[in-house]
Amino acid sequence: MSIDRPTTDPSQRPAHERPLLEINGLSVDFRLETSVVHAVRDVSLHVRAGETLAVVGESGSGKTATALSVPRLNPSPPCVYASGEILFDGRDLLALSERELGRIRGRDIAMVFQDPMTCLDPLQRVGAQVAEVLRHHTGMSRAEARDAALDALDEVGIPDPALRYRQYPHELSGGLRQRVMIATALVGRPRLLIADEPTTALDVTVQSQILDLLVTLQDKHGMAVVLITHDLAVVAETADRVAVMNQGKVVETGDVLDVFDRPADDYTRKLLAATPRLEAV
Amino acid sequence: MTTEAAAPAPPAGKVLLELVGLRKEFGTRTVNVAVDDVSLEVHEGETLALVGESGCGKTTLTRLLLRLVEPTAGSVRFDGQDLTALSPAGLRAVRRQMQVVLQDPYASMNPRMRITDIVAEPLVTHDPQARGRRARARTRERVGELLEAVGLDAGIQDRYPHEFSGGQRQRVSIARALALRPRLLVLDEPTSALDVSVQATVLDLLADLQGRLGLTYVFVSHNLAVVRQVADRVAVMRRGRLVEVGATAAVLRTPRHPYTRQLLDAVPVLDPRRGRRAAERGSWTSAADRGSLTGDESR
Ligand SMILES: Nc1ncnc2c1ncn2[C@@H]1O[C@H](COP(=O)(O)OP(=O)(O)OP(=O)(O)O)[C@@H](O)[C@H]1O
Ligand SMILES: Nc1ncnc2c1ncn2[C@@H]1O[C@H](COP(=O)(O)OP(=O)(O)OP(=O)(O)O)[C@@H](O)[C@H]1O
Ligand SMILES: [Mg+2]
Ligand SMILES: [Mg+2]
Repeated sequence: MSIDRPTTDPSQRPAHERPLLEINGLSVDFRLETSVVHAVRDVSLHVRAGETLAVVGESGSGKTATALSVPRLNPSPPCVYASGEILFDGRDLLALSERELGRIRGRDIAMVFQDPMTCLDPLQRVGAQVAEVLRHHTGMSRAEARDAALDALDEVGIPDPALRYRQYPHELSGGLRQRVMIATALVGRPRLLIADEPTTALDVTVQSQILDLLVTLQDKHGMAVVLITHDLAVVAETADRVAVMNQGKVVETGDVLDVFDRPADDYTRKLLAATPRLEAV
Repeated sequence: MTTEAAAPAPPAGKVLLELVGLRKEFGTRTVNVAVDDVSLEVHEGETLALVGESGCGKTTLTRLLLRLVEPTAGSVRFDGQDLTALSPAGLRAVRRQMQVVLQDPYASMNPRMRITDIVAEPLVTHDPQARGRRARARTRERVGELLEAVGLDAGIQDRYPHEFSGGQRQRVSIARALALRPRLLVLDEPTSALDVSVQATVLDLLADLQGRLGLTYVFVSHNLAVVRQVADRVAVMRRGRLVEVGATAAVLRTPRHPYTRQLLDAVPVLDPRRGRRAAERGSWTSAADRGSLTGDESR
């Protein structure tokens, strides 16, 4: 089990314990015509190989802006990375050239976007989009990539992958699209998966299957996961640690059991209390 | 919508929406039956939840009942009128009484339109009084009220949709759907991008409008805890068909169909000591401690 040891100097720990991703003092602004939105304010987070960090918090609190900062995908302008560093495997992603970062994106670090349509090309068949990731990052042949893409669609629980492979995004249901996006992210076996609300369009049985798949990949490959979600029950079942965001700041972070047992922040308590439950309590 | 304590009220109002033998096929070479012989009545003033497997036809069914797509077979009656037989003018008059919050709101927003125009669009389309320069101040005021009702700042009206978070956009889409005070509101996963406290605000608003104005809701959701809270009746769909329809409490407490049971069993629980994936799995970090794995093998 991973336990938070904030007092230990990270550089003193053995390599496998050093966080794979470490965000220190990140601030992100959106500079609009007449105003500036301070979307992320001095946020520090970390996640180790094999670990799941859940990020929860108010709508508009800066979760997506933080997540998109890692592969540096916030639209710029208006986005400005005002301060901080994002260390991936010890390298500051904010300081890399676009070319260097391009090699890491999609291969070492994969994203599941909150809005599927921002990553799926409406004019391309979905199977080809999954296969393209592989061809781009591994240099597989067309036929190999096709087989691997079919496996990837199957792996995320898409029934009849051969039929779906040939379809366009608009021919899929919301949840099928979401699963295609997850397949695209996982097919290259990334070291870090950043998943922004990845199961919002999935029924609970498929959701459970996807979360199980993530855990399997974590066990097998040591994939680290940053899971942004509004569903605290998913956090309870899946995450090792949780960070709670409110108004651009991390207001509380810690081991899931500790945060659920003894929420220190008022906003965390409010979230836990407001969660609708299936059984009457 | 009922409060949790209220008894599961049998559908009281008259039938507002009647679906008879609806069927929708997609595809030519391989036919995919998205909706298969669905018949259902929705009563005025009730909330009917539609739940089921991802890809089972929920969104397609809502598009059929709004007549946004043509059925392969079957009919839809709204307030006694057969939608498939209406003239374009007649359909327009009915349309103003039905609004929808789409599952993917961003895709339906014109990226070059400001929030104020997006929310005012149904008003401007259907209400001549909302058009023109003189109506502009009044329309802006109304848009401001609607935005505030869903927990957004009225001052965001001149900004563009891409400048907002997922949950903020979802609320813009709800504000737009409420602008005309429709009789029937179809909500396709309307709170999936909202944190629980904003979700509660939105659900309270919907309940309040229903109480005061007798709105009817068709509420598509994967969140059974939310369904339990808001719905009078639940319809469970699987592979294009309705497998179970009944009062919410009955369906959730004593499901008759095995698929409903399966869904209920898969609902995650809020207690981090039960059903934990993280605890059950052999931790990667402890495996690394034992020296059985190296960073390289992880690639
Ligand atoms: N491109 C942009 N231009 C201007 N402001 C933006 C932009 N993107 C995000 N914002 C603002 O930054 C803040 C943080 O947004 P972000 O998308 O990170 O929120 P979030 O926590 O992901 O919320 P949600 O749970 O609703 O998705 C919000 O106030 C949002 O309006
Ligand atoms: N325009 C279309 N062209 C072809 N097939 C379609 C189209 N729209 C939907 N389908 C298919 O119809 C079936 C039902 O899709 P629908 O979107 O209604 O599912 P859903 O129940 O809303 O799923 P989800 O919960 O994932 O949103 C799916 O197999 C989908 O691929
Ligand atoms: Mg977001
Ligand atoms: Mg749908």
